[in-house]
Amino acid sequence: MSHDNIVKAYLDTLGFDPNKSVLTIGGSNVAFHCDKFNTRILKNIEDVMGYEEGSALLKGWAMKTSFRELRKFLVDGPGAGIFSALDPRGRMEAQFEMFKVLAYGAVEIDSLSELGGTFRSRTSYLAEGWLENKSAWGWELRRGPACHDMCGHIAAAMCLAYGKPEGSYKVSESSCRTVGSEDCVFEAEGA
Amino acid sequence: MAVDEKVIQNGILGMGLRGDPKTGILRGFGVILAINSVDYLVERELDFIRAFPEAERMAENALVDAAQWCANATFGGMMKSPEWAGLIAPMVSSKRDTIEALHAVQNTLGWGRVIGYELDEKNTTYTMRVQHSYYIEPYLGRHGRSERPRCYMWLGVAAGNMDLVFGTKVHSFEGQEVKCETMGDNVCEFRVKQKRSLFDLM
Repeated sequence: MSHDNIVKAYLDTLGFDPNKSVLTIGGSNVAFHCDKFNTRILKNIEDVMGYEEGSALLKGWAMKTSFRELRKFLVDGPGAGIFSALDPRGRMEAQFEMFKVLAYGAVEIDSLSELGGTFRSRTSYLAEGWLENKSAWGWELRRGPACHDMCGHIAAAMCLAYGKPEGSYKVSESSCRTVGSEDCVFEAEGA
Repeated sequence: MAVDEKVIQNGILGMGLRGDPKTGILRGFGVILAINSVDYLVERELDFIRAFPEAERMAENALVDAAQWCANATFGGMMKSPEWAGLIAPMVSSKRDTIEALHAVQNTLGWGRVIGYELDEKNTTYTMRVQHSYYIEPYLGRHGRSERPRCYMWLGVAAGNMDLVFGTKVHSFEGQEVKCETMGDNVCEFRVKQKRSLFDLM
């Protein structure tokens, strides 16, 4: 199903204030950053905190901020009319189209129910960035998946698809391109 | 030909920067870009620092380090890209032009606005002033006034700008944020100087 209407409504909210150099979309402040910055931050946080704690921090904030900001547009903002008319699968697809606008990569649904789901990406942003920088910066193979941000974004999307409060789903990445898998695979389950 | 910020800004924003409708990937200026939530960018850094109450400085340095590498790789990559060659290079013929072109690009990214600078080429020092840094609103809104400067990304980028302008390797320059809007100042100010080598100290 095409979600051109929600993408158009989302892009219509894109604004830039040249006097402050402030960029907004969907009523929230956003900023461009590149793979170099985000993968360095990821690596420094994991190296200093340890993999598990670093992953939890990044997933947690991605989930909280995504939930707040998706809800601002899709529930309380200009996307509400379109979003509320969709079934849960349509809502997930619509949010994945918004993730593409934000350049997070493309995500597809393998399975989905209120209890959870499985999702797949061949272009998840952080994996794409990590693979690009690994050889340039001589980084070693990763010990675990890299797409902590995407886990948080998907967890937030699940909450909104099923009209549940923040934190109702947990998402883990069961395979990742940065550790040699063909796709990044994300498993969601009710928390 | 002087650096025209408006031309650069219109050129960049006119590229319709968003993820590809099929892959969701945005490649431009030799890098892969994403449109990140400012709250996410700021809160992940603050939470990271909070995890090390006994070693805040070490955690802060890890964040500045990431930004300085970012400046070098990102803007260094941009300066070699066809987009830079077509849009920006014709306006650049000096170190001062290079730094103004970098400011113009940085002023289109949603990071806040570089409003002034001083560059001393002889002594290799640089002061950069920023207003509306993206750290300010989330920090003041959720944490109140800060007792220390908070714009880690900008500090790394300021030092990285000098690495690029002088064509030196990454981390040849280091900086300090001496004023910050989170502390009640009306501007964030960054002072950058060349790192002293062991030879200089002898």
